[in-house]
Amino acid sequence: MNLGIQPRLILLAVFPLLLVTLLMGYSMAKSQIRDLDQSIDRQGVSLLGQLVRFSEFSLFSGDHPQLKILAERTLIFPDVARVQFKDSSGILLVDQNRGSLNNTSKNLYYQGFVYSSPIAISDDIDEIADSSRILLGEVLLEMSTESIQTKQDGIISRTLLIMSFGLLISIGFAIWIAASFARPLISLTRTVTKMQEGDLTARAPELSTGEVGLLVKGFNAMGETIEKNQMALENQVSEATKKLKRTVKELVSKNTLLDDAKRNAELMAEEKALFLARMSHDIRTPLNAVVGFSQNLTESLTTEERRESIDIIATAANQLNQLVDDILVLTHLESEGVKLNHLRFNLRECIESTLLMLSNPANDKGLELVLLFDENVFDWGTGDELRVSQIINNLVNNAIKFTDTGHILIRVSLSSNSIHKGIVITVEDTGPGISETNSKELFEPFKQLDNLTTRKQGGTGLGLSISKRLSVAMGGELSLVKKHNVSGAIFELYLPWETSDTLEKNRYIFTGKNILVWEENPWARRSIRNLLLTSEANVYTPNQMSDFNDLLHNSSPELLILSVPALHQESTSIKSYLNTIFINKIIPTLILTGIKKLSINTRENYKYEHLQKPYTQSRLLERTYFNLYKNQISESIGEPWKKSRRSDSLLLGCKFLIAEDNTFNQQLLKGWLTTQSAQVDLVDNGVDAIEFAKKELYSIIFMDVHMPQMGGIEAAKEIKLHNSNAIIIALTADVIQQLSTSENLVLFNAVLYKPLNKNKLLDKIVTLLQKNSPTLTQNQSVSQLNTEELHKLEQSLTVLITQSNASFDTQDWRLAKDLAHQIAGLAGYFEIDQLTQNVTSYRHALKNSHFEEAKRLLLSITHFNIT
Amino acid sequence: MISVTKHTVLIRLLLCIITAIATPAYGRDVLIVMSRDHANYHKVVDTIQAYFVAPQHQFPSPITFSVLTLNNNGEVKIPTDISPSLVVGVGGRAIKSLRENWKTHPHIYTLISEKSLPVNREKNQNIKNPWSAVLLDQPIFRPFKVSEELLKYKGKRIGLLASESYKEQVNASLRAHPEIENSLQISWVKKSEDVVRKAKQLINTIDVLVALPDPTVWKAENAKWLLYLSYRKKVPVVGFSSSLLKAGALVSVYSKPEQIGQQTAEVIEQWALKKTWQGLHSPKYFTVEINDLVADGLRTPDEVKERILNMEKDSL
Repeated sequence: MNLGIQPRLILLAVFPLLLVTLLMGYSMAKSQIRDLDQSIDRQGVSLLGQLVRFSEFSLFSGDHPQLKILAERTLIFPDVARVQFKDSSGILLVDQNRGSLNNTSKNLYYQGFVYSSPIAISDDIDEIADSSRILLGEVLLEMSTESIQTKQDGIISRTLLIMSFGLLISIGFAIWIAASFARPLISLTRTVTKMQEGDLTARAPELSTGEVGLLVKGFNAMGETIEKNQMALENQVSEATKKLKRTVKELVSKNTLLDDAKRNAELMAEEKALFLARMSHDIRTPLNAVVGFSQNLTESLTTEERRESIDIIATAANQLNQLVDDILVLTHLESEGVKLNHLRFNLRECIESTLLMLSNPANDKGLELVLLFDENVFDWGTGDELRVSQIINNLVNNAIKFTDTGHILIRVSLSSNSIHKGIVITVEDTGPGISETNSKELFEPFKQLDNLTTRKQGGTGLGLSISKRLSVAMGGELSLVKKHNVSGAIFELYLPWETSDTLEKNRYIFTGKNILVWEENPWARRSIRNLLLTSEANVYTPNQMSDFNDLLHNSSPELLILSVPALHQESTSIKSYLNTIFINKIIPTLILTGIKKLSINTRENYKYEHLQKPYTQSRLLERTYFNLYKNQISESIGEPWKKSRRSDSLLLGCKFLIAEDNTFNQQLLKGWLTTQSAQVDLVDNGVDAIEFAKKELYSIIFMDVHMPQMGGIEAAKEIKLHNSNAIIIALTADVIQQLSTSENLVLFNAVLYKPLNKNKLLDKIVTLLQKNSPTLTQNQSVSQLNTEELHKLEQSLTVLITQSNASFDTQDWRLAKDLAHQIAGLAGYFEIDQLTQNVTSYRHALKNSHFEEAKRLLLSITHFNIT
Repeated sequence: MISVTKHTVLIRLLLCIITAIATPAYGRDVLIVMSRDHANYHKVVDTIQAYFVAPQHQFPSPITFSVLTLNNNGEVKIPTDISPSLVVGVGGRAIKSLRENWKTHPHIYTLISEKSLPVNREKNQNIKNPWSAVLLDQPIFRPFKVSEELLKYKGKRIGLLASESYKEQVNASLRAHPEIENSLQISWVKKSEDVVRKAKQLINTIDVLVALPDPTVWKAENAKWLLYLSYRKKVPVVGFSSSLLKAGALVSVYSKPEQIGQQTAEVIEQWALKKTWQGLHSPKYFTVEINDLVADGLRTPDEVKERILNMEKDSL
């Protein structure tokens, strides 16, 4: 119910009044009616009492006329309707009534019994006690309520009249009070409504005094204040609106200009990128030919002057190539970012191959390149192999440039930051370091360190900038760090990657073999130790010569690994260094140096193997294996590991297809392959490549990505559809558009970027053929041996097994275990599966002293079948 | 009240002591049976016992008294060591108990109305044992004498309302006092007649109304109306009891309990002395008393009242 204030006030005033009036009226009427009822009742009771008393004698004496008189006198009272007297037997004696009164059912009836009360008249106590009262009769009195009813009606009427009158006065008074109270409030409410509707000039009339009057005055004052403020605000808003309109107009015009400028800039950037891409291809293509042919010239020329000139050409070409690469990558990063691969790859091999590329400048300066994987870091990671290689190349290349002596340590460890988990690749050199001033602008593009070395070394100044951006793009970070005890520069590359172990089992296991290592450089010593420990050999790496000599005589080493510092560049110097190591035993020795070939005179029967630093893990383990077991192997199959990979007949019997539209590149590639006794077919587009691939089964197909008619990718897809086992190597000069996507990896077995490197190319060919061709695998099956070789192998195994039987009979268990180990090595190498399995079980039985079982197994080994 | 109780206790104690130290009575043990435990009865008993304490009434072998009181049902627990020679019943209820419990003992009934007696005045039938009764009923001439005194100052006629059963006594009294007869107007009431109507008629013709303890006329139920009628006609009533005096009689001639006790003690003494003691004994000692309120209402002169009161000394 939505009532206004005036009706509410009226209700507020009237309702209690009405309630009180009703209650009081009802109470008064009820009281008066009750008094009337009580008065007539009292009158009846009183009259009855009197009648009882006065009639006692008459009833006692039977004086009926007296009773009648008594009744008649009683009827004088207006409310008495009837009086009756009866004797003690109930016989009616007198009955007097008022004829004018109606005998209604509402009349009141009173009945009284009349007794004769005895009195004591005798002094005989017993007589007095035995007396009792006697019923003389009864009196009936009827009281009429007619007059009472009339009086009650009168009372009710009067009460209602008084209540109505009082109520009317109350309502009138309430209306007057409500109106006088509500009037100013209503007018105030109307004024508020007007102000709400926007009429700020509206004012409430000041009709009353007191609190409401003050309220109205206060409200009017507030209205005036609001009106003034509103006007002031409107003025301010008007001014602000005008300013805003002007500003918007200016902004619109500026935005238009900016849009035009941005559009122009984007167009320019696109044109720039296209231009650079075209330039890249156009520059790199002839450069490829220059570099290739210079390499050819280097190998064929004899005079030192011409070789130097050609070296200068090659160096200049490489620098030009690096410059173009850097500019292109940086441009691409700035314009569009870089597309990253996310594939599982061998991080160790990635870094090792990068270091191998930088081995020549490092070795030339006599610097040690040390790769150290911490013990808790696995070899495999997931990410973009090419970009990691690129960053490592930049960092190590810089380190080589700025370091004259000492070493460059490339350390791979797990991040110690609990939040940023991943790996950290640290490149630390022993150079002069980087000053505080230079370090601030180190990662800015085109910035070079302002010193003599920089000017001497040259460079684009883009390497660190590119590396920084690439690391950030991979979710990592590249930073220059300071260490208290290190004077050289230290770069840390953080990558949020997890490393994992290889799924393939390490095939080089030298369990129980004692290997003694001499390495002066502590980092290199730790690196070589970590590498050899993966083969389960006993590795001794003393840090002092005295310790080395002690171990040499006491630990019965079966292999010596002697590392000559890289600063020794000449054979004579190396020999002098080696002479400082006194060795009076004939022990297989692996010498590590910084030069390619080592030729020194040694004592009689003292044989050594040479390995150039930096070495890869696989190369070191391979050389270690052959040095440990070369006696057995040499007696059986000669020394196949000494056969040079770079022999002219490396690719004898292989046939290649080269799909390349550039004639110079065709000839260059063809020349490299044919010198390795390979056969080569040439085509200059994808369509022909498909035709040739369908007709001929090629060992490898080289596919240029950009060719007329049909590109290399489309052609490769078609060829793979026809022959899913076809080996295809993509050739491209576009280092920006990556081919190493998962789709292309299915199509292409490898991607080589122009300009091509001959050694890289041959390594990749050999690797791919080893995976896919049995003729070039490391381990050899006995089926690949000719009759003579097979015979020698059989003889070697027979000698070893005979010695094993002898040692078993003499219970020389140590010798027996050693011989079993040698047999296992030969059987494993030549993949004689049954013999390998038996020998493994035999070794297990010997180890656990199960000699009965060992004897049974030795018997089965004795009857081995080499085929 | 306290002094009286102490006195009574002391007397009882003294009697007990005397009884205890006395030599055994030669058949003079008296048992008093009270109808109720009422002051009037105790007054009678006390007066009797006090009577024999006086030296002039003492015997060589003293009379011993035992007192029993009936309960509300009219029964009494009789001690086994009591073997009375005489049983005195005080009050009307004691008569029945005496006749049931001590059938062969000599009885004295005292403080009773004649109408309470189970025997006829003339024929001593139904009672085989010797008995005597000391009555409350005053001799008829006593109220007549008082009435005559009243007539001296007002009126001439004495009215009497009596039943036929009372006729003999009235006549006997008139024969003894013939002077009364001249002023006496008697209205005889039969059992079937309305006493009040008869009284109305009589009162209209007399100046003094004499009330007799006639159970047919003066009853507890109608006494007040008879008094009322008399009073309304300014006819003084001469009553026969202290109760009737209080009810509205102008003057009453009656015997107090002490006076009855005195007379009863004298009868016992006669019994103890083996003298004549049996028979009905009208009250020997009496009291004349005036209701002053009624006297004022009837405007009775003081000299009249004084003369009437002096009549008590006259040994009527």
